[in-house]
Amino acid sequence: MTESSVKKLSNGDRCYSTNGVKPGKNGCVKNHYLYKKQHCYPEEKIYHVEHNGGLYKRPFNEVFEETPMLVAVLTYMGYGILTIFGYLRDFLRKWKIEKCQNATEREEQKDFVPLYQDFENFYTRNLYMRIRDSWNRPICSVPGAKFDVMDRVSYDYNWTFKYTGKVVKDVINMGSYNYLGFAENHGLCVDAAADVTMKYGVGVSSTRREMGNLGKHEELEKLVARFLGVEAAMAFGMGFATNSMNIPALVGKGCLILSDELNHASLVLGARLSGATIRVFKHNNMQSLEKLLKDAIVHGQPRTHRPWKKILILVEGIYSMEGSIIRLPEVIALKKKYKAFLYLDEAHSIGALGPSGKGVVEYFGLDPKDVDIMMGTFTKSFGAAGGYIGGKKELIDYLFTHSHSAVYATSMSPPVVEQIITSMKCIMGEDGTTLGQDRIKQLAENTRYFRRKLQEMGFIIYGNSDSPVVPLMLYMPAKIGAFGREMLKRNIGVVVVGFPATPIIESRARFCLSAAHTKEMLDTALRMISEVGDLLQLKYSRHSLVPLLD
Amino acid sequence: MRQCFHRPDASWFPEIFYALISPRAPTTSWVSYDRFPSFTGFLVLRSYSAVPPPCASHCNSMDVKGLKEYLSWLYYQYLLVTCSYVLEPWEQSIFNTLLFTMVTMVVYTAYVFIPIHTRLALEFFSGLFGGQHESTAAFMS
Repeated sequence: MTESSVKKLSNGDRCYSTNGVKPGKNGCVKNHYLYKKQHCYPEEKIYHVEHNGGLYKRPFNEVFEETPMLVAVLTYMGYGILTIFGYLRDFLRKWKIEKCQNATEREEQKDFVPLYQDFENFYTRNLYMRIRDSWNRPICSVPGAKFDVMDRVSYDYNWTFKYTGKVVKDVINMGSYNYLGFAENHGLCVDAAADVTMKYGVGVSSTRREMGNLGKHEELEKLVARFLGVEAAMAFGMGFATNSMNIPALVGKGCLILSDELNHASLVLGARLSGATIRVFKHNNMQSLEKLLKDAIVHGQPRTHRPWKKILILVEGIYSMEGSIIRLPEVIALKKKYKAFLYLDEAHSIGALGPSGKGVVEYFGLDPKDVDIMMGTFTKSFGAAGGYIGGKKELIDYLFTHSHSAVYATSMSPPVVEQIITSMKCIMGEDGTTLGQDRIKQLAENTRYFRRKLQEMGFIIYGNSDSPVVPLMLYMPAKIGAFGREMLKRNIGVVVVGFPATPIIESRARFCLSAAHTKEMLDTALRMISEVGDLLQLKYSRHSLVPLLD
Repeated sequence: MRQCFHRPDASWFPEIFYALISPRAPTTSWVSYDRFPSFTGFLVLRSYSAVPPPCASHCNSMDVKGLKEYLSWLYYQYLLVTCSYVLEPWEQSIFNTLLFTMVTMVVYTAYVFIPIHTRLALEFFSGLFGGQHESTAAFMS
């Protein structure tokens, strides 16, 4: 360990400690006899190291600007007005003054617990329906960097839609999870998938454990294990089902699950189905997680005070609604200290982070063997469908026999498997071209450029500066609908999100960047976003950034 | 504002009054959401008039047009902030009527009562300090 520290110093690299000892003022560890002050170059002072004892090798810039007070007040006022009008419309519908066009229970079911009267359905009826044309837009081409959207109109305020027959062509796609640009209809992956379809057909007609285990599946699993750097991996047909069906196989009653506040619905569903006790810690907050871990170890199970059978920490690599990256070095340090297990859901970060696309573990420079269960999906960066779980061989063998998804679900379709295999080999560079590396670099550049430009323009952007998911805050409910419509008028397709996916006043527009976006497309998109931002007065940010010269 | 526009004369007032009472929406159908004038036109106007044009004879018509665009943009902001943008036209009419009534009542109340209250307050405080001055003067002498 001392030799490696000296080597790093002589390379002119940053000085950091590998054993978690708190460093001194200029980043060098005190009381370490091989460190001499003159070896630490002053211009390489690390300003972020003091907070966490040298766990981070690069700056971790994550900012969530606070909602301006006036905007919050106006948003609540807007929701108040909509609630009043919602009650008025519900009253008119109940007394049959107005025709009721939404789902209601039948007469025979009126004595049972109501299905359609809680707040979420009130919200759906009275706000979502009014701005529904921004969602579920039918597209009629491959969702690459540009796509075609079918034009539709509504004559009864979004209760029904009619297609005009026209197609809006070449809409810039800022909403698809296409981080490395593999959602395309020409190229190496598509040809390989077509060949495999000719050979194997499309349907498998069986589960993995009966007749559906093709050689392609085995090849895929070995490749995934090699890609991630783990002993073995297993692939499933659906990413949601991977989470929700495998967590119940791993934990049960008498175990403790510590799950992040903003975890995805599949993780929450899997945790609830397992029957374990669930405790929630604040989003990306390591003090909250440590407190929960300490309480769990000290007090044990609620009434009997017996020790927990297992403690499982559920986190995601990139959180898609916030754009934040998990503080993985600290989580792993906590996990080792308190002897818990870590389940990392890399749905959005696999392929998108890290110098060679191997996900958030590589981004932080950590060892994949530290993460007990690495889960991910093939939907986002690989242009296919499905999910995987990687880990030790015993774990995968156990899951193969005990997981519901492995035993009962139909196995993955051969062309999808081939798409994953080809795209993974392309990312790893094994197909002989540098296409994978180029795409990863392009994505990183696009991310930095786009985020920087949006912050300079004065929008409030959440999340880490390295994450390709960019949420732009809108706050007011009318602006959600207005933003979606105005952007489509300018030929840019965006995804806008409101309650219940986000807290009620924090509605946002979420941009997903892609390696397939060229700089010209990003410039066009930025210009249009700025225009719409001026039109709708969305530039709420009170921080001012000095524009860089690039 | 970037343009030089004259002080608005009263000719636009009835138009704004009308706009407050009933929104300018097509009564036939919800065919397109472009119920408002094209705001790209407004922004283009803003960009090329970064240098204010000399106020010649044509300035008057361009300023009125710019003013109208600005006012309709302000009306758009009002619709967005109060969420009237997502309401149907008859709901917007109800909301605008209620809001206008309340604002009129507030303005009327202010007009009637503020001078009286101000005068009474001034008398009260001057009486207070004046009385104090007299009492200290009496004490001194």
